[in-house]
Amino acid sequence: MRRIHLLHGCIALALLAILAPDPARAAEPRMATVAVDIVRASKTPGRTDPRLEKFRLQLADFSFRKYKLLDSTLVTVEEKKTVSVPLEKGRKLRGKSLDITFVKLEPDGRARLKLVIPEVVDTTVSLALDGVVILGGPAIPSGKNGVLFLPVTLVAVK
Amino acid sequence: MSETTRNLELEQRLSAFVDGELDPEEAEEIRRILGEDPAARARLDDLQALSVALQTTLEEIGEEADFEGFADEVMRRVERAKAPAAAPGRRRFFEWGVRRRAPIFAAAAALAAVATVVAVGPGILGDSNRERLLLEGDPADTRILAMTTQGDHGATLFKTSAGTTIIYLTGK
Repeated sequence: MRRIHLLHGCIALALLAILAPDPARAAEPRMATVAVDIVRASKTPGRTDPRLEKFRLQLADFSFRKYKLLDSTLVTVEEKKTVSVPLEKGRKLRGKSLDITFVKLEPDGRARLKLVIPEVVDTTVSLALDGVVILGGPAIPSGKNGVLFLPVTLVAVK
Repeated sequence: MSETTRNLELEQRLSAFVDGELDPEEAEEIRRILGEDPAARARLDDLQALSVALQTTLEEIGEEADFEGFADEVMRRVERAKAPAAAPGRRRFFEWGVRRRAPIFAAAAALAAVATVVAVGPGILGDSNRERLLLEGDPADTRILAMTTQGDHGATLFKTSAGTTIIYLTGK
């Protein structure tokens, strides 16, 4: 009888070891990697940076003729944390930032992100992997030579 | 260079001229062309009217926007604002639509197929905690759940015909 109890105990321990979450894994925070580009679009004819071909196609409805990549930043944000991306490469953007908060990982694998340009806009978006939302327009000063756009792309989430 | 190409290039430069994007030398060159070419002057008038019409339309939508039951309300306004469509333009602009519905909105005869979804004024969408879908782009891609703007800033949510979601921020 004692041997049977011992056997049951061993099986229970083995099952616990298999099924219980790995403490190290459970404590590992979820992370989202987000790319933030700063692109100046202009209607004056000219050469477009080949790296912006995808962006040019995304904005094909507009009558812009030239796109210039001013900056490209890759940030990794922990869930429920905020990372601030300075927008200094756009000449008139100095002092402004794009604050990205990884709100949560949604059940379908999307990342919910809160994007804030202080004193301008505060928005919450849900992005699938490789999903992009583009912030832009005259509220992001770019001078007279075009309009600034900030494509925000979810590059990875884990 | 063919005449078609020349006309297209002139139109692009005129468009940039209307938006004040040309440098002083290019702007002077356009003024010279306008002084000599009545067709170019007529095209400039069209472009200026288009610019005003688009601006007015977006502002009107922004002023009227009511986000309680927002999708149906926007669609109703779009239907009301429909005008006889002009001849198809050479260039597509935007595709208006909410949740993949894409009615065409001809705000003015000059606007063949301008499209957007929602324009919002400062702070209109004040409650960012509520789970409310404002704009869905490609279903596999992007959803906008909440948005507020501050100060004198407003925003227009676009979905381009390529399915890309754009938050177009206005105000200085």
